[in-house]
Amino acid sequence: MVYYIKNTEEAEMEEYIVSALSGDKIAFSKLYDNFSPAALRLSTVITRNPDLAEDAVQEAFIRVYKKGYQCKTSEKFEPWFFRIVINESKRILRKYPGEVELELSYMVSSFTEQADLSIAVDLALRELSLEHRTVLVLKFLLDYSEKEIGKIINKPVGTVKSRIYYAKKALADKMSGKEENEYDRV
Amino acid sequence: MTEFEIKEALYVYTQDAVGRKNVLKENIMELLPEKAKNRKEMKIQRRLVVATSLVLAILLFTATPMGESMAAAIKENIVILIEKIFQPKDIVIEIEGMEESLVYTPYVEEPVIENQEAPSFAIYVDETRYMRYEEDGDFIIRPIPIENSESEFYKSLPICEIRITQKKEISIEMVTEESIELLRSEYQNVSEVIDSPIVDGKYIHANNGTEWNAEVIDVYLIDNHSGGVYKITAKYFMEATEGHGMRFASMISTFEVALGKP
Repeated sequence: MVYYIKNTEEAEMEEYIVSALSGDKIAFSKLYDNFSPAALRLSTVITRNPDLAEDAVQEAFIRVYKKGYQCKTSEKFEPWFFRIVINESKRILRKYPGEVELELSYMVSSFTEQADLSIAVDLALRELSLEHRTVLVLKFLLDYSEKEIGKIINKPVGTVKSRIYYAKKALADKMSGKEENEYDRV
Repeated sequence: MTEFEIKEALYVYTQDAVGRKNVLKENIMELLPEKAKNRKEMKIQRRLVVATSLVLAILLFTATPMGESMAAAIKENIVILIEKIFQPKDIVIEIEGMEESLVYTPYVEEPVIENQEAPSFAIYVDETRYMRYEEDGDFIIRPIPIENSESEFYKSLPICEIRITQKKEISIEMVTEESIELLRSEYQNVSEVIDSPIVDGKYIHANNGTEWNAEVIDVYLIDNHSGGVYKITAKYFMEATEGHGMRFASMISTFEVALGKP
């Protein structure tokens, strides 16, 4: 189930995916509108840096346009596309390994409750592996099933379930640990 | 922490990035090439090559008597035909943030006429920087030696090369398993197997750490459509990731199985 395209008619969606993959720029623009928010969220959690996420998503969409012929059918588009986003995010991380730590200031540009939450999430995500961060966002933010996540990351459902379990537990532990530390300081 | 709380936390954390969507769209739309290569064009290219091989296979079996000179002439004609299909092309790559446009030269493996079931491949090579070699039946691309490449320093650097090996009569799953095992015995960090974003096949990455001279390897496994697998390995080192690493990936992305089983 993909919440960000659920209002789009299936047939229409299939049509524009096929057209976009064949090089139709109008269809590609529509494809971007539908998939870019999810891609940006996924890449932000993987890279923990919105600038790097932006670069990764840009590269991913350009690759999709150039290599659309590699995606055999519209049904296979989503796992194929998100795999590209994940790979581009990893590639960007390898390219700019020192960039991540610099960007926390971006997340805390205003002192609001939301900014506090962003800091807490960022600190917690720091402690999670890239694989755990990836399944977290696919499962809890993009609402993919374990089976669908398996197709995206090319892993059996059992592995996906186990990663989700540990990622969820680790995030919860780190977030609650963060809160306790703050209370300790007060 | 409930699932709803996790969702909310991740939503808030990523919300700013989503806000950049429209600006990013403008950049992307500007960067799109005029015309993307589509599946139909790719199919036509493959069909042309397969058709050529079919016609010549028929010629071989019907021509009597068929002497060695005739076989050689046919082979030469195939090469000429294939060269017409695979023309040199401009490839744009990004090296350390700068776009570079280069003319890549096609290399098409010479088809084995005696056995039409043997596939061959095509790959585009940046011949301004790299040279082609053949060793033990493998096709290799290595940097053109530079003036002081015989110095102790250059000799101490890890090898940089692309190697294409054809593994016959073996499934892609078995080659994947073998490759993973081999990589684990030789490299400290080995990735999972994923679908390659640049070729139609599987991909594994491995390295020996993050030091500037740590060895890096990218392995691509591609079905040869004749019961075997093409294994492409790109070796370089950490410091060369943005140079040779990117250039290798760019050349590998042009790889195609040119002659499948008719």
